[in-house]
Amino acid sequence: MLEVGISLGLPGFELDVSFAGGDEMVVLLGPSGAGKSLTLRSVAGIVSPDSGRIVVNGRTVYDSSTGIFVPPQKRRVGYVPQDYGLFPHLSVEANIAFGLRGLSRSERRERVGEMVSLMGLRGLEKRHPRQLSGGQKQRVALARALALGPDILLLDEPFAALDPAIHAELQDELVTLQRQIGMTIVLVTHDRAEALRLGDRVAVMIGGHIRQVGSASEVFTSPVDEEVATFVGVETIAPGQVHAYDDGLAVIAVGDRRVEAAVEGVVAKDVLVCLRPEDVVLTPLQDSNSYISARNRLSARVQRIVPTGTQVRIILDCGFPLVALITKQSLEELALRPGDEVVATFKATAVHLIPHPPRL
Amino acid sequence: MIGPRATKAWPAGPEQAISVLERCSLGVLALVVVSFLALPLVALLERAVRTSDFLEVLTSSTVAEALRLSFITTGISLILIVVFGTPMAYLLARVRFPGHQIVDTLIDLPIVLPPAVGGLGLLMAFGRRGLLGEWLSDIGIELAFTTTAVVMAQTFVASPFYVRTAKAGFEAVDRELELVSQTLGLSRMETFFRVAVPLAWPALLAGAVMAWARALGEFGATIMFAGSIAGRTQTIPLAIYRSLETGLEVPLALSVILVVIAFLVLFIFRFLAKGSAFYV
Repeated sequence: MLEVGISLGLPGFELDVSFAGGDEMVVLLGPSGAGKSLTLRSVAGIVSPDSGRIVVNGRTVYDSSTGIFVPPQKRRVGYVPQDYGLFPHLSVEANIAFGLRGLSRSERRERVGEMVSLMGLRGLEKRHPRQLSGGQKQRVALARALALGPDILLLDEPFAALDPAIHAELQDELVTLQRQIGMTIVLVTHDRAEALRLGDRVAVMIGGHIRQVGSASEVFTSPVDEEVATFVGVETIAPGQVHAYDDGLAVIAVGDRRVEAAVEGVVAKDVLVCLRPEDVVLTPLQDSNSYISARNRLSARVQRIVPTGTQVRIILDCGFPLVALITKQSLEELALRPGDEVVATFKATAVHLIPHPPRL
Repeated sequence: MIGPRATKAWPAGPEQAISVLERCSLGVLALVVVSFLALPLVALLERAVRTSDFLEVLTSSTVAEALRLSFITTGISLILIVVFGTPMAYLLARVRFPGHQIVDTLIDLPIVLPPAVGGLGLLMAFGRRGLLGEWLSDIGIELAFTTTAVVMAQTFVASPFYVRTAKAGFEAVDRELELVSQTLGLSRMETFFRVAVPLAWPALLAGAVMAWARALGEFGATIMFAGSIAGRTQTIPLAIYRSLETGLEVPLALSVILVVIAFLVLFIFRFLAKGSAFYV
């Protein structure tokens, strides 16, 4: 359990965040320079905010109004920095045992042994950090933090220093670990795939503020504003006006085109139409029978084709710019070239609307 | 980096041609430098060996007294330097306080200051008529021309060598590690002893070795502030100078000892510099 509401002014930067999390994986997602690490460090107690309150498992560790500041060594907060912060002069064993005090030699050995088996580090006990792989270092750092039985665990970009090829595996391990130990884990990342994969709760942080907090799917499908939308991977954002409602659908005029969006109740008149590129399907002009279920079919002209890894990003013009993400195979089947006409199809439920009073 | 370093320092290609003339002139230059540095040492050793009663001189009272005094005073100086210099070095490495630059410069000053000037300064401060010395004299404490003065002179001259190296050593310790240590339940003080000191250890040791060597060779400040009283303030360098008046045997013996120590110190220093293997 964690409740954070703090502000901190630095030269040229203002941090003002508030969020809360239960015994779950809370992901602080945002671009670099958003103040994510600063927030984490404030919770750990190695940075002191200007004002606000931090409550960990019901224990107030910081409160500017009553002058409470629990120093980091008394916070019972496990903190794992970006490059894991292992002590290079100590073995794996000694790293894990580092903070264990007031225990007998045998109790300490037992505790280290528990952590070693929990994190799958058997056989590596005598090694030094320089002899470990990135993934092993990460597990040692986790073991060291968990050995003290903290109330909460803070991880700063835990996967940034690792080979992307092993991200998925290690992320699954981390999720399993969280379920096992059942404590609040706050994880900082700039990688939205990571946030989507790990976050029970995702807090999007931009420019020193938390813009949106919600489940991963909420944040990714229903961003609250344009900046959050852009950051969570919405690539089509077009202004439009709601013209009519029809059986749970809003009919929106975007330029001279018509887009239907699934809505609950009534939304604002002026909106931003948001669409994720992976929700757009492209079909040839003449093939008009496919994807009957999709509510939106717009003819569009291919402007640019940008390969991105295993997929291809197609930038289209259908009166407004529209981005689609398709597989290489579909690209070959469609034989698309810049200038070609295609039909862009997407479901009404894939469209997300953000209220958008027109700027004067 | 883990694993062996790349061995090829230069990009592949034809080796740069050095003409015979260039080779010869470089060789001659190198020879001149090496001879200039080595010749005095060779001469010292040669003369010392030729002196028939060399071993006898080594055990003479003048030599023994100078040696004893030198080791005792440099030992005390080193302890003082480490005890006061280590926190100072850590403070300079970690905290930006008002006047940081001034303190930092002041610490380095004795390195460039002629030792005689340092000695005179000590005399003006702690001598019988000195700034503080007058008052100390009133309460019955005389510092100038005592063994204590030898220690003060050595500490004054040698401390920068330790503080500088130690400061660089502490600066090289990742600050994040100290913060992590605190989140693991250790106070700042405990963190200092369990993280900063062990990680800066090679630098601390190297600094201590250099400072000790500098204290051992101290001459100028000592003779100004402590004089050259056999058995009380006459350390090895002073004994070498003073005993020149009565013959070459004693100065030669003491010099050979200092040369051997200097070699050992440099050897240890190099070994320690290599020993900082923690850093990946």
